[in-house]
Amino acid sequence: MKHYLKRAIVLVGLLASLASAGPALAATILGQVSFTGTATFNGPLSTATAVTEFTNVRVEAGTGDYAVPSLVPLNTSVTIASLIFDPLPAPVAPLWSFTVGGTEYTFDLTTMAMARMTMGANHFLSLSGTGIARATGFEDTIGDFTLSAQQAVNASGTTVTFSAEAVVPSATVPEPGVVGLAAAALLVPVLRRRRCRA
Amino acid sequence: MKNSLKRLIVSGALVVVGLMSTGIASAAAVYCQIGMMGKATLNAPLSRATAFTLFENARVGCGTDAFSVPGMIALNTPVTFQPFSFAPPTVTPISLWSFTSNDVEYELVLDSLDFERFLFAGNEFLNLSGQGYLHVNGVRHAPADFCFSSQQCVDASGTTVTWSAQTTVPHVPEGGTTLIFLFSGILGIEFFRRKCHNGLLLRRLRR
Repeated sequence: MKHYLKRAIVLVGLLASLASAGPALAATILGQVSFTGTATFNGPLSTATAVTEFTNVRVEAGTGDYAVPSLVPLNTSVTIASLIFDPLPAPVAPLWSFTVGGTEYTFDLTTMAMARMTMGANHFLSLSGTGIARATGFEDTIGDFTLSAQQAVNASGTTVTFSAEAVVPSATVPEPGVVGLAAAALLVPVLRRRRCRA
Repeated sequence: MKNSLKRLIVSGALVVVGLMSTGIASAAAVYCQIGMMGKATLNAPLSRATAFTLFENARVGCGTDAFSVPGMIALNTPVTFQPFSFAPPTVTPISLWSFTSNDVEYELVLDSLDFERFLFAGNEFLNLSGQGYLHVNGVRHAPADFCFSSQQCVDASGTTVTWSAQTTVPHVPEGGTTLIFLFSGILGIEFFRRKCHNGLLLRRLRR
């Protein structure tokens, strides 16, 4: 029985030391951030193949490491690179970026899929991609990116409003605090079992 | 001299009547468009939401013609969006959005609304399409088309999303009237030209 307890204590100690080792494990990005702005396409949305310019792009909402307004002020200005979506683009690095204080947040697009839809004779564009989120002081983390835009049936011109979201999945790397809690949770049943037997 | 003036009047009138009857001078619709964007809260994650419960930071992003940004309407002019249900759609008509610019109040009243929600490459998208009327200072002005889109990544938590929308309204220029004014102008110029010409002739004869 003593052996079990010893092993459990050693395991907890090991996990705790890993957790306290800190930066290497802790610094993955965790959260989601949403933007809005205007996009100018190289033609009407129904036939466009690229966004030639993004303007007036701002942060609207965010959580976790992108929390709005505690970490990232509402309406923070965002730069988005021009983007070819038909045919599907080569990696774009960075696709978007913004800076708050000394922290620069960027997202490198690696893959993308595109869907064009027509509903009630209105045109819709949906983009769905994956990439790598980066931020000063954090580890690079895999994330998802989505963007949608629309153009009404009789609209002329090539400039429309759009909205977008990037999410950095929480499943990638657990936080050290979570590791510590898991270790403690492992120890509790062992201690209880020992007390009961005693 | 009188004969040629008569001929001019008759031919001008014929041109105006002809053009109006063929429809060239009749109102050729030009569509004004206005783009909006902002943040919204849903009553559930996008994959199973049925309504928008709150719109925040909604503003004008772009526009053309009577809605040209920044010529007629300032960029980022705040817009009031009313919460609405899209599945099933709120009983219409619904006053969807309104904003004021240069003391003129614009309001979109929707008569119909359709929605399409779909999962694409693992992420959720929502498209809305509707029709209604643009009201200007409370008066029904012109029919309008409306479209709206939003999205939520597969791993996203919460019920807050960003969205964008566009409304188009036909703007009817004064086709026939413009042509009549144009013809009157030409006629006036010709009349004065002749008057001057006659005056010069009289002066020469007096000499």
